[in-house]
Amino acid sequence: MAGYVIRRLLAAAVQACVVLVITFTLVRLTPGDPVTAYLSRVQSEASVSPEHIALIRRQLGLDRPVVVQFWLYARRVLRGDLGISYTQSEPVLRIVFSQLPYTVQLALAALLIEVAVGLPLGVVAATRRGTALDYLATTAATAAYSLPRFWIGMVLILVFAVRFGMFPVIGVGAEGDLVDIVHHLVLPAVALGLAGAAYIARMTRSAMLEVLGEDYVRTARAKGVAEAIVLRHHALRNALIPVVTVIGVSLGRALGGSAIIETLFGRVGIGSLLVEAITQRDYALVQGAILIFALGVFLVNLGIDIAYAWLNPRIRYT
Amino acid sequence: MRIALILLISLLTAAGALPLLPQPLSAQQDTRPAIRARLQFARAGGVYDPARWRYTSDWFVYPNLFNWLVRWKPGPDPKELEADLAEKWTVSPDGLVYTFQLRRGVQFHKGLGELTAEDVVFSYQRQISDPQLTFYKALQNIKSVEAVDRYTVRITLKERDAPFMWTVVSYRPGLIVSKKAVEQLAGAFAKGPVGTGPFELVELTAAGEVVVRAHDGYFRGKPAVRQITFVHVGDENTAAAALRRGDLQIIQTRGNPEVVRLLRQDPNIKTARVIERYNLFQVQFGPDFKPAQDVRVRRALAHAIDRRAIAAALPDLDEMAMVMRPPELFGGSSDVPTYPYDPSRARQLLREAGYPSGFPITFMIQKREPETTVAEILAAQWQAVGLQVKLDVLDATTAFDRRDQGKFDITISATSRPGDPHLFFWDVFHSDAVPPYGSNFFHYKDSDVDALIDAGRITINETHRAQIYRALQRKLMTDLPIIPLFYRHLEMAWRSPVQSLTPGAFNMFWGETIKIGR
Repeated sequence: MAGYVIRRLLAAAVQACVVLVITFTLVRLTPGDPVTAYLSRVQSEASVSPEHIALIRRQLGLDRPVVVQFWLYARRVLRGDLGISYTQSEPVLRIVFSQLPYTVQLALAALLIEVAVGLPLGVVAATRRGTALDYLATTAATAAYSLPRFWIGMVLILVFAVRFGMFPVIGVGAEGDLVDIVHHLVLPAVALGLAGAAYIARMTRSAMLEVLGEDYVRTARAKGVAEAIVLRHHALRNALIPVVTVIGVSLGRALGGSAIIETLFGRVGIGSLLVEAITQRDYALVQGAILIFALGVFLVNLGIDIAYAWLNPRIRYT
Repeated sequence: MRIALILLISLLTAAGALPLLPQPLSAQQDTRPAIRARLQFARAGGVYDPARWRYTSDWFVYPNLFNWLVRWKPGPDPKELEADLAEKWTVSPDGLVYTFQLRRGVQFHKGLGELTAEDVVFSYQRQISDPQLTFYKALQNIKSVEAVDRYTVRITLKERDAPFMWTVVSYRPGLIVSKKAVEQLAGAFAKGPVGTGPFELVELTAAGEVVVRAHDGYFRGKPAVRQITFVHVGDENTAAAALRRGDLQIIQTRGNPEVVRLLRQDPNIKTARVIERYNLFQVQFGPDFKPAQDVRVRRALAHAIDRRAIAAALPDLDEMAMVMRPPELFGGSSDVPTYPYDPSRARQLLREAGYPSGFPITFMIQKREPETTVAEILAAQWQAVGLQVKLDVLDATTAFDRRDQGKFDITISATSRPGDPHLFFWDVFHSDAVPPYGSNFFHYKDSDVDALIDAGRITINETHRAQIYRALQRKLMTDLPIIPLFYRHLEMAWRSPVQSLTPGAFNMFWGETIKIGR
């Protein structure tokens, strides 16, 4: 097991290098120059001169060949230095870590909704197969899965925030005030998690249906084991294996979807930070945020693989 | 279900483990309300040293923290200057020496004492001597800044500069900082600036908010609110929803007609339409776009524009512009050639220019409102006179980049240069203002125009200056290097406990004008 984890971590390091190269290249292939972006925003009409531009370019290290830029960047990253954001004049690492908790909160809250809504819905649909309840659950799941998150978010804001005044529209809540933080999390988490919940419901339903048809379930029922125990111990635990994979993917997707949801709900976090950094061509910040993001997804996937063993002791790591 | 439980626990742990930041101090027994405002359209710069000004959008915070010697009178169209830190000022007859008498007893934030001439000299000196600071170049016409005595400052120029009071003294380079604070804090000053303004910076939160607190020693009197938190909300619809729910008390929108309509219908919300007549939306031509080098083509394109269709699409949001600078502003004029909607004249001009069957245009625009709506209307109108128009919709940064490099056929964008007309005319039309120096994206070069702009700068007599700008506009509207379209509009909206406020030019926000009540 320990050997497996180490091998996976090494693989994650290699993947991180690939992400580094791809991000570095993509960011530089994007049209638009960071210095122009910077100057257009300053609009200091009387103060822009070629010397000033050359100075900024030199400060950002953009006057050197791209290969050299990459070499210097990669060397710094290996030392744990992700560079300085030129839009915020602060180390990228500090900025990213200051924003990370907000996105992690949001992603976990969304995941909670996905699981808490999706799992029971799938189980109910499977055990009541062919009934009106099954059709209702399946239709609702299909609808929820097809709706864009942005639209769901807008509707939630208009109905639950503006019309009924139940939840705040913007912000992340006061630091340290748990109730306030959760209050601010509900709507964005629902907007982010609804599609995932629908997906999990559908996966759980089909996995459950498959398991419920197995011989050992029939045997358990024949032996007179209570239906609730059959469902919980025999069926659900086995049906969960494919579902856990989906949960892993969901968490990665929730991290990705945070860009839209954070922007819509005026929340800070890695997603909205990344959107801003891309529009301002803040190379260091874009690269740093994506790298940390990718590492996060690798770790989540590793955690999911380890969770397999807990659910199914037959899985052996080699 | 165990997974759900574990997730719930992790969520709560993550939320609880957030670093505790210093809470904003609240003055004891202070019953004044604290309000939340969304004013800027971009995330704040996070650097509040005026000498290191990062983003135009930071106008929402600077006028609250700092003062100038003389300032634009708060309001949407700054037409006159008023005393700020200087009670009065004189200009020598040759226009080279400016002498300012400071107000006495003006206090800096954080108990850093009284403002003196030393602070003013320091504020200018540090920017003049360091090329790395933002306004280094803007201040290079200053020969010397001296403290004559404790309350008198003398600025001597190298050459005459009629718009100096507008472009330097009351503009971004002219904000006054505390000498003691800059010397003590050094690099940390940008995150903890000290000025004389009605509010002092309390903190820049991890959640991206800028929190300012009333400076009760402000020389114009105590602000009506205890604290203002500037919040970044990228989406206009979200900001409007937050105002309607009361999560925010003040917002500024960029004129999304639907959003504005919704806000105006809400009885709890007051709105103010802010037309900025110096903020001109215009059609710009690319320097390498061959057809546009013929003035007949530029005139044809202007005649093909039906501004009523634009006005209908942006209902009562923007004011259409037939001239570059309207007569109600200094240096403005309506006594100029104009190009009213006349499609047959447009077709005739195109024939005369040798394009009887039109030509293809790649119309570059930024993906945001109102640019996209306006561009669609213009494209249809130009197609109607026989041109082949293709829209090229880009994100702002890419569009800026292409525009600065001159890689476009036609685009629309706004030029906002408040106050003295020199700023606008030099920046858009002077042959020295080709990017990166200025915003002459057409690379327009005309010696008569240059001469008039230069004369406008060094002529001190106001009547003569006004004549120069009238002549300049006549020349420009004849030659038509840009086509004026409409003047920009912003909408301010607020709710209780804010009773009223004075909207500012640009994104300027005057927290001191807020009045509280029902």
